[in-house]
Amino acid sequence: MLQVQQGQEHAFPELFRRLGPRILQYVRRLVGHEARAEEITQDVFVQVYRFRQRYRPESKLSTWVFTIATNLCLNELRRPERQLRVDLWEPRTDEPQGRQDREGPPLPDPDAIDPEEGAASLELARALEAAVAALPPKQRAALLLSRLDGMAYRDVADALGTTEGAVKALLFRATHGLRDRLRDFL
Amino acid sequence: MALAGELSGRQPDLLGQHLERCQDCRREWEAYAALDRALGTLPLEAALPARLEQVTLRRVRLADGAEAPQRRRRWLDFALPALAATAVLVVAVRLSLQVGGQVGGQEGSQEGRRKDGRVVSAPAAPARAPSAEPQRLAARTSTPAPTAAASAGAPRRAARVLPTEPPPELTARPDLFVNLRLLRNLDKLQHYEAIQTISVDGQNGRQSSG
Repeated sequence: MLQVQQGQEHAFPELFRRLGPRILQYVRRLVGHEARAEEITQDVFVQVYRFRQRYRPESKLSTWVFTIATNLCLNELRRPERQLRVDLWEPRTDEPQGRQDREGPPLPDPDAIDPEEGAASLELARALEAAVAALPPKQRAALLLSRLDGMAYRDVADALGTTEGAVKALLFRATHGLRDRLRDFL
Repeated sequence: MALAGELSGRQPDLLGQHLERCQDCRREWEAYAALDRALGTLPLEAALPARLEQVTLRRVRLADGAEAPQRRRRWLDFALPALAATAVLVVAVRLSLQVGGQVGGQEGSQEGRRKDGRVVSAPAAPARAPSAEPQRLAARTSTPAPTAAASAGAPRRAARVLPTEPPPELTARPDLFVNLRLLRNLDKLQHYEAIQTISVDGQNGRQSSG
């Protein structure tokens, strides 16, 4: 990032390749709309570039980028016209199973040898993705940042613009909600 | 908290002892642990489409290209108005000096000097031009006549003063406006003053015209 700040041309594409996959996955889960997720990921990196001089090396770069991504996603989720959009992450019933597999989330355990175990993992992964997508946006963001991306509570609080205590409460409610929704699987 | 590794001191031991005794809590604990494991298996990264990288980098380049003119424009936003204001100020000062010099030079030698929009006579006019006398007489009449200073020293001001005599083309043709309705009915207005001075007779209560 310091190289980006200094204007070195090769630095930004490298930064995009390093953080882009995680940001895209996070935005995809948070927004739940494939095409919009790609647009927001673009916006995230354009903002990272535009405001590159505001980044302070004392803080973690990924936290800063995730904060930008979280703000853009929450703004997107607040837009009223969003309610009219088709959610591509929801399984579509009018297509054969193969296509649903292609559009759904990737396999959680590609090395599973036992077909039954693999199918169970796949089913659990699908159910888990659906349960995460059904959480309220802030709970979802807190859960994804903390449990998946491994950010500290303080960093999650910074990204969400709230306190550590509020983050813990969000995580408790999110975990409880997931447990309720996945009762058949756990 | 236990799953997040936030228990400290003897808390993990106490939790373990409780879970050994309580089946319900053990079942819940196992469910939450399974949930935590399942969350851990979800992929953290998505495969980046090549198109997304291209589009993003192109947008960044465009943003970079748009920033440079803005940086240049930022100081122009201040410099241009300042330059324009300075130029206007310089021209205004120069014009006022020129006009002031001409008017001051001419008016100082003439009698009339404008002050507060009125023509006043200078208290002391030691060097009076001989041609100023007829103009001074004309200024005393009801018709505003151009003063000597105005006619001689300030051409712009003189242009605003009305002429005292009609143009010769009109003088040569007195019948030019004879067809105007007002002129044709002019004889009906001969009692105009009498109409204007109507008064009420207090003794007999009748209106009378003078």
